[in-house]
Amino acid sequence: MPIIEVRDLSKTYTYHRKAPGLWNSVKSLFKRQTLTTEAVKRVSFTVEAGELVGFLGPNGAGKTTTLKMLAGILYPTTGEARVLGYVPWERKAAYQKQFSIVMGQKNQLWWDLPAMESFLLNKEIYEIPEPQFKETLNELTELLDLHEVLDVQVRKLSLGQRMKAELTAALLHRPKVLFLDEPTIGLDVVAQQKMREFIKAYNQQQKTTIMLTSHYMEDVAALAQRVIIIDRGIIFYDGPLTGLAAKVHEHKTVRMTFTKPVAATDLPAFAHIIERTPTTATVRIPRKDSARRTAEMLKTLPIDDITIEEEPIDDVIRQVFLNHAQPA
Amino acid sequence: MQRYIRLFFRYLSTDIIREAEFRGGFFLLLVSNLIEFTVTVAFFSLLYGSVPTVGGWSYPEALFLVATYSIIGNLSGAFFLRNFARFSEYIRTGLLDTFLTKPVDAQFAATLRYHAISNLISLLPSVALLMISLHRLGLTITVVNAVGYVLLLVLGLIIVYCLWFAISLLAFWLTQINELQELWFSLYDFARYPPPIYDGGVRILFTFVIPVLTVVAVPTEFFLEHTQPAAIGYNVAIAATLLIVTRLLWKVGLRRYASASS
Repeated sequence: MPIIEVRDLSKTYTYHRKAPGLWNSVKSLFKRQTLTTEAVKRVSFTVEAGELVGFLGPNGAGKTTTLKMLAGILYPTTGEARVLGYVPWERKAAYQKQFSIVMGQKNQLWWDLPAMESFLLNKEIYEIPEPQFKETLNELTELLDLHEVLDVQVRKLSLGQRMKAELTAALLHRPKVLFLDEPTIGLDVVAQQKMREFIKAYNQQQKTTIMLTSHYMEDVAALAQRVIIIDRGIIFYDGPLTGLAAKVHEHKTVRMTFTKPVAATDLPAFAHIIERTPTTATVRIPRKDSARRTAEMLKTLPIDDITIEEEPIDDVIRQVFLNHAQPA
Repeated sequence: MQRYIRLFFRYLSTDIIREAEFRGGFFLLLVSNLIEFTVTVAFFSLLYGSVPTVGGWSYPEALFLVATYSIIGNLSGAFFLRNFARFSEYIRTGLLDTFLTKPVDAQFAATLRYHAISNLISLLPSVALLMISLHRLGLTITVVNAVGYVLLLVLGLIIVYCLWFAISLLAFWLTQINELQELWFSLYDFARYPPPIYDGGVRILFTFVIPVLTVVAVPTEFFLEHTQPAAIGYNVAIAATLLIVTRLLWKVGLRRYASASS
């Protein structure tokens, strides 16, 4: 039985177009042009218990809107969804006690108070029994290395520390489903890395079902076995990350260092040159027959060192978006 | 219910911690409340220096009314002000999200979360004025008087909550409405004068359409022993109706809520 079931979910926003300027503002008080945007268009997917799914897409793709509908913040325009058997936007307390949403750009912690005060409030809100609260808090502060900041006002924390505290607040009631919207946004590389490690470990230990949106490819590459790629409200890939790479790329990148200078014309015709100096070359070769072609280059060229790489995942995704952008 | 009372006191206690932290703002609000209170009382003593009665109300009766006005004003300031002042921002910035995902009624959490403790302290001079006017009127406090008065104050607070909430709810449709907070304050100002001074349309407007007059007048008249049961019944009915209507408006508004970007 899937934990999350989404069928034909759509969300349309209406807004008003207003031409700039004072006179147009006055006019718009009386007569306005109403426009609609379809942020999410008939999206369907299911997520099984314990899965960690990455939701990828450029800004405005509809990933956050989808998460917000699953968290019961927004009503869909049409379509259905069930999470843990509940219709999210009915906002039943029984459902709300079993999930959490963390939004990188919205803090739920009390800004002017130590994080501990917000944790105690959540204990009250989620009706967490004292022993469980203590145990969970200890575990989380241990895992996230948060001991020394519990009694510091939230506004005095670094962004990295604050995000950890936000996560702690969201996990105190041991949610079965966790929605993470851009959890690493604005964090430095080290803090991003730590956050990823924590999310991965938490998913494995607690078997929590996690849906994560990000526009950092590293997040998704490091965390999710499965990705859903969405653009302009439409899902156009849902499957394993590795499958995506194979599907999109037709090339591999080969970096070579030579023992003596090699002229461009000496390189085989199938190798597309990306970068070249007399003693080094980076070329792209077709994925198909790559082993044979590499062997051929090893034989004909004075190679000192050679590495073969998959194209970086960012490039893959970019390629997907570009392909998608072309009118079919 | 018990859980909500516990939550309310937790909100309150965190606000006491916070205000202890920001003493400057605390004292500033306290001083501004006291100045406003003094100006109001001075206005009435000047007014009654030249006329014996206003709309049939004597000077000490008017003082009792002003004290009641000020008590309800300070209580609503203490419990509602900081929430409704933030309300349009919750909607504009999408902060309302954080209330909508928790297993606590979101209306409760969004409208009764923050408290202005200094307003509770500015209650003291209002209560003192109440005592002074009672002394001048030669009235004594009885159990019936006191309990009835307090219950009617609570009823008045409920009406104030609903009216103020209704104004704030416009944010779902207008998004940017900080100015409408001012609308509430100017509406409430009407309640500080004896109701008979308003005639015709104004009185009907502020009794039946936007019932701010009865909020202060009904508890006052009850204590001064010239209230009609009908007026009390009217306030009960108004409070119940407004609670239901604002609840429905809140639900309709939530359907419109678009939760600002990420």
